Amino acid sequence: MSVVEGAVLALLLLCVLFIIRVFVVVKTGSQFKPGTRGPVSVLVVVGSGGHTTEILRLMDSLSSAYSPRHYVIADTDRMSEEKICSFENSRPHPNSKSQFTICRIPRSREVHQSWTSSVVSTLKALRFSLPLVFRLRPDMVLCNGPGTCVPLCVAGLLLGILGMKKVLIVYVESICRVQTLSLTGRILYPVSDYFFVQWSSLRDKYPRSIFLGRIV
Amino acid sequence: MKTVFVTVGTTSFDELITNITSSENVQALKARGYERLVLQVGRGSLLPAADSCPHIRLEAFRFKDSIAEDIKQADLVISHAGAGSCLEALGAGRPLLVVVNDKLMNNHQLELARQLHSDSHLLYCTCTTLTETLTTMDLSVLQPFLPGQPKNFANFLDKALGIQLQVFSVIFILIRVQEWCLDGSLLKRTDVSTHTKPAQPHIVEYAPSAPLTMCYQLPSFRPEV
Repeated sequence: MSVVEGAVLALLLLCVLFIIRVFVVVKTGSQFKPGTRGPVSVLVVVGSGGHTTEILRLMDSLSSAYSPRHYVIADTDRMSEEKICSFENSRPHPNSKSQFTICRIPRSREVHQSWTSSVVSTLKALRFSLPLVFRLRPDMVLCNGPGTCVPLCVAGLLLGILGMKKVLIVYVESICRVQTLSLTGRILYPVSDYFFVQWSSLRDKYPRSIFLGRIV
Repeated sequence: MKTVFVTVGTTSFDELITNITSSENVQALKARGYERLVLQVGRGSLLPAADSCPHIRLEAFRFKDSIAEDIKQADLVISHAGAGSCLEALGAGRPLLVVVNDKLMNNHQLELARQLHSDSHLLYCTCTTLTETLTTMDLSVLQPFLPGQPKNFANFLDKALGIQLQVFSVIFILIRVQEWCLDGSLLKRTDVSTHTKPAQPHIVEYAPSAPLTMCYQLPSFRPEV
């Protein structure tokens, strides 16, 4: 009897400690300044269609201090791969070498997929995302809404929770979202370190978000 | 030749295609001087033939890799409320009329079209009010849609992540500051001593009655990267 009670108590304590740890990792994100120690490695989650266009415009504005750049795309997406390659080749390379890689993982949610099956496929994608993020150990994850970002951000968060490396989660909500956040946005809002929205009505609803006008 | 380009993106919107090729709407377009009508019909079941509209030059296709060229050639773009189509047309600086598919209510894509309409970047109607809108619309009320500023995002992130300015950008800024100081002092001297002889070319564009302080505007401070 007392053993069971002890086990339950230990489990509860572990849960509380875990929650406190997550809270600390997320809260101290803004104090983490990887840029002071040299180049910042970025993991860029590229969706499809409009998402790709938007995120490449954001990448275009970032200086060469953000390198290497690891692009993650869904394995069914050929269009984005071409776009990334032509974008990277058009970038000026001050050091005469462009540092970027393209990684493919299974898509976590097709458009119009049901809730329950997206949970299953997200878990599947997590199996690929964890080794990827643990191997690359990026300083930040940049994403703007495709479902693929959730497992990758979770993997990044886990690195921070385990104390291996703080990974900043930077989320930019799509310009299409004026009044409501996307599903991915709602999931990542509590755990992201920098959460950008592009319309003031969203900033009013989500006070932790950052509003700099339209940025794509 | 004044052209109207109609696009439904990757969806189907037969009601719009039927409506825009109806004789009264074609007449309304003709009355405004449009002579060519290009339709991108997507997955719709209708693909009007070139000779189905006797009064206007008609072209129709389903999909293309890029409709950027069609948008560029158009004098008016009529589109469904899709975010991609709206942004592409506005980004190209074309006047845009969005026709909302009222059978697709609560679609989150409508959010953006509504917002852009309330900021007067586009006109907005439904299929039932299309004829009325085409006859009475005033394209001159539309405000230009300025591109977003990813640079603001980059600057914010640089600061937040503690990324230091590189040496060349510091030098660049110093040069700009020096230029500006010189500019300012020159302006001051010429403007106080004589108003008839502008020393700097960019003073000329200001009206003589304009307050003196207007000349102290900073030169545009945008490093070309």
